[in-house]
Amino acid sequence: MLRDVSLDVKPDEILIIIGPSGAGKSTLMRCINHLITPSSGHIYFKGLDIPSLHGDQMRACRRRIGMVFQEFNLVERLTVLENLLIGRLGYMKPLEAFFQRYASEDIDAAEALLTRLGLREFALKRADNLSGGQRQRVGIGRALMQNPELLLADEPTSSLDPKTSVEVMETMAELARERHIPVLVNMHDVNLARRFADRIVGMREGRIVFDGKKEELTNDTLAKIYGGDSWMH
Amino acid sequence: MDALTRRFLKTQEPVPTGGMEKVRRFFRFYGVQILLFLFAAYLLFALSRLGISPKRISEGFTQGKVFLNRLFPPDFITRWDDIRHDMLESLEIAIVASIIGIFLSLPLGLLGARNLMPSVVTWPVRFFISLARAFNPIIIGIIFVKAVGFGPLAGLLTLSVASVGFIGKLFIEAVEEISMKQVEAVRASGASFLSVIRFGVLPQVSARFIGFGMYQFDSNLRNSTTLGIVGAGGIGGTLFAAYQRFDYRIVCAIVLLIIGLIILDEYVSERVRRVFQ
Repeated sequence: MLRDVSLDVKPDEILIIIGPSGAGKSTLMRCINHLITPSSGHIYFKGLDIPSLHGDQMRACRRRIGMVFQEFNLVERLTVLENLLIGRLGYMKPLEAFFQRYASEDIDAAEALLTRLGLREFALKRADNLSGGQRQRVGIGRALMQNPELLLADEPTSSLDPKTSVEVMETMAELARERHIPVLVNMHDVNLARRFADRIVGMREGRIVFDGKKEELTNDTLAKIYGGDSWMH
Repeated sequence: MDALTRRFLKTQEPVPTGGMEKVRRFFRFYGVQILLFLFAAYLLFALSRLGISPKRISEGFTQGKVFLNRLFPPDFITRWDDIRHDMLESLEIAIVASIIGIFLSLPLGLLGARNLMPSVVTWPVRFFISLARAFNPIIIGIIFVKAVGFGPLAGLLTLSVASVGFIGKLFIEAVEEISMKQVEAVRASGASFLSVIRFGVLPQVSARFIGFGMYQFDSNLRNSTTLGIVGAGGIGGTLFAAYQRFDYRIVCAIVLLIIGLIILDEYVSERVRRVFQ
């Protein structure tokens, strides 16, 4: 449930949305790449009004937006390499994709990315053999294989331990900055958000209640976002 | 209220007041015993109606002993050409019908899955599959023998229909149990519908599909040895004819061959399933 949400993401920016469970953070993400359709309103992406797109146009738009998921959502029984190459499917003809006739450049790009993510040796292992942190790296790799113009990350660290969470966020921030991709992240963890965000947006009950630099995020605003302040002490 | 609930809530069974309450209390205490008694009584009644008595059973065993003596030694030689031809025919019917059944079930399994398709598609598909499963293969066999005549074609069609009925349903269930998170991730990459099926759905179900296909082949092989009784091809026809001519030594040979074939099949399908786990 989203109400009167108005938000624009600037290029090269890491924008982190925080807020309690059920605030509408995930819904917002899924509207942006049209996994769900909002009942009304507009979402503009490079001049395209996303909710109004259908069929091929919608898929062509989706491939320009990479998405990283809370539970990684890797296809467990495919190899790590095949999972990365899922990021290229949107660019391939249906039959090419069906018979896995990937372009050589795509395979080389996947290899380079896997090396970068420290997963080169796992390339041909099945995704269900990996640990949580490794899986999320594959998730990031898959999204980046799309050559996206925007990266969405829906609670990318909620299934990871604190140390791995920081490492995964570092990898994601680093790779996104290199490629000048703006990133929109959802998370619960306020400290992690402070550490990586250029800008923080606080949501509560489907509305935006805070939007500003991380330095402006005070305990008072946090109390407004999450309700009450007893949890902070 | 059962005994445990009463003990947990620390309440006593209320003392019955009035007639209805007494009746209810009686059934609560003795309901299970009454049901068991009725069930045992029906069992005795049914046995008496079927004319089964100790005398009849002991006579049957004596007859059985005579029959068993006449089965041995098995005679593989006299009708070997017929037996060989029909055994191979049974095997061929089972293999071809399984392959046809699997190929038809693959699209039907995807089209019938409620997590992938709207109900206008799943409804007719599910109805068709239920219909294919509604009758025992012998009954479908009789219909096909009437329609296309005696011979292996009728058996082939029968077992193809039976296969769709069973594996179609199992495929649908397998597809409905997949993780939609993996599917969503493939969709989010901008992949076409075909790619979503190929990379999001099929990897999650392929191993189970192979397992179901092997089970269906096991089942088809067993059924292909009986379909001959209604004239739909395979070893069943020769077996039935041998019974009717009292050629019990030939019956024995055929039965031993069927047992051998089934054991071989169990061994092979176990190996295949293990490879694809």
